[in-house]
Amino acid sequence: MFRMKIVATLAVVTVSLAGVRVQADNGTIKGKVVFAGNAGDHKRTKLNTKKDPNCAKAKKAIGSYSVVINKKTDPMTLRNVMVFVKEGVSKKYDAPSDAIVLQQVGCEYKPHVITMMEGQTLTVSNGDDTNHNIHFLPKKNQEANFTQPKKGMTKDLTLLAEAPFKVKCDVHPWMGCYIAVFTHPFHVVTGKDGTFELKGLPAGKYTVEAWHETFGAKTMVVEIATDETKEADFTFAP
Amino acid sequence: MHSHRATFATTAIACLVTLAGCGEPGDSAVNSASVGNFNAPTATTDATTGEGSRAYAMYCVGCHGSDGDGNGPAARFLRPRPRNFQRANFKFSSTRAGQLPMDEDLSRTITEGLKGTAMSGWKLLPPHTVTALVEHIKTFSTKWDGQARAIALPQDNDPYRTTPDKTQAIARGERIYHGYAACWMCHPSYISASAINRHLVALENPASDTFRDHLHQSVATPNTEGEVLFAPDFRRDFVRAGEDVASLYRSIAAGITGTAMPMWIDSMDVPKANASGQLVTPGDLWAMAYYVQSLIQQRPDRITADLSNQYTPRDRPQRILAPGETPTPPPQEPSAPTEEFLEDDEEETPQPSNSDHQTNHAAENGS
Repeated sequence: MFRMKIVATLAVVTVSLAGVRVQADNGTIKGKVVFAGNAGDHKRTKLNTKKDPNCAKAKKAIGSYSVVINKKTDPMTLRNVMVFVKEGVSKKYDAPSDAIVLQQVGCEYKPHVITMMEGQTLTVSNGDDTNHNIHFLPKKNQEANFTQPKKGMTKDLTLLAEAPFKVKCDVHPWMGCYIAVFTHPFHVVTGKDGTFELKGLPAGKYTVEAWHETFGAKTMVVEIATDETKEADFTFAP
Repeated sequence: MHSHRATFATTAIACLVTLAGCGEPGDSAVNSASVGNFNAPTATTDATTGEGSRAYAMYCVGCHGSDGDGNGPAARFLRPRPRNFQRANFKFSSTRAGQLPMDEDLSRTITEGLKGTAMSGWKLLPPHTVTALVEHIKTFSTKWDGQARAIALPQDNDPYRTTPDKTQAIARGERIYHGYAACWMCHPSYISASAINRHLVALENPASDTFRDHLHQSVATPNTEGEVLFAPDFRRDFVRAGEDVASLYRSIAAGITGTAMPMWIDSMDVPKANASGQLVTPGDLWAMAYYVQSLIQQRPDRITADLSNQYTPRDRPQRILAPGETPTPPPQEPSAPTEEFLEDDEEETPQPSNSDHQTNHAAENGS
């Protein structure tokens, strides 16, 4: 868990560093993803992991990931929402050299939602004493389906830019995660506070999208001047 | 009602096939020449009026549809459904799962067919027609445009090829199937839980005190087309893409595109943890193929096929009777004329072969 936090933090830091390194633009779009529905309707459930007793051994209970609400924030916010610039980026950006890590621990994908850049390395690793197959279900990239039957196995791969697509494990049907690949570094995933910040944007008019695996996508047009910081909140009210 | 419909469908298919058979290559050539007068660009000539297009219209549209969407008139009656060429998810290939197949893969499927499905083998088609069909199938999806050609996986590295006795290969395959690849997570396990544990430990995996429910049955998983498929039970189900060792190796190594079956070729190079040497090698894929083939040979139709070569029909094993059930006498029709003939024959000139038949006849009357 602790290790994962470090990895996640590293990934975020890398992304922002890359933005700064490439150009001196300093515009920022920040805000939060508000959940305005009834939290009681979207309770997380305990997943049935009986199919593989090794998973039950590794972790007592796994919760469903389809909707994760941060109930402690005010107002309530949504976790695992991808926020990214969909249109309006004209510059070319290089992919960061650091790899994004997708771990399979306790028969869960960590992190559950990944945003990365085209050409960036994605390292898939197995931290479980069981067999996982990793089945990418993209539309534009090629479908891939490989296995990691032993603990400690890793595989590196790169992806082409593509809208969010699912990755699943056929052996453990509850396991799923989402990956989106971009040609620019302006993309983040909301965490426990439900906020996002897209840094290092040049002045311009941007279409920003918030994408959630269950509630779908919401877009917003934000125009920023040079070095300007603008707030933009997304609201999902299912 | 249902059977009525099915009969209609069968007739329809039969008609299609018959019609297809009636088409004369010469006639079509004349037609295509006249169509060619409409200033069609040369590049698309083959796609629209060439041999591939004509052969597709003759042999394939009935199931795969004129648009290649796998939705021809007969498709609604078929399970599994005909392939949708527009999506270009080809299950059986010698390339890594998810990649487009090689031309040879497509032509193999056309000529050999897919066992247990409506896709029959088109062995009667001349090779140039099959090649033309392969090219025509590629026109239905843009996935084929500008795609870097995938590399076929090596198939000439069978370490057991020169050994006539495959017992060792089958034993190693059973170990890899249960102890390393954990195929029983989707396919059935063919051995007991304790035997699985023995294989797990032998391959440096932790033993497990519990396994999934219904360990000796298949598990169903959805494919990318939205259908739910059971992993084949090799002792019961047909294996689609060929039951020879090379075909089984291909399916295990490359995986099956669109389904839960992953490719194994990249996961077969594992060194031992605390000693020098290999724990798992790429050659073990062949061992798995030999093991799966040994399971296929236990399938009822294979056993019956073997028995029918060895015994006369009366010697075939009988169904086990339920308590209180009386055995139904075997049907007499086929043997009746033969018996009559034999009796006549016997009266005139007794022969050693006839006396054999007489004993059989007497035994049958007695029982």
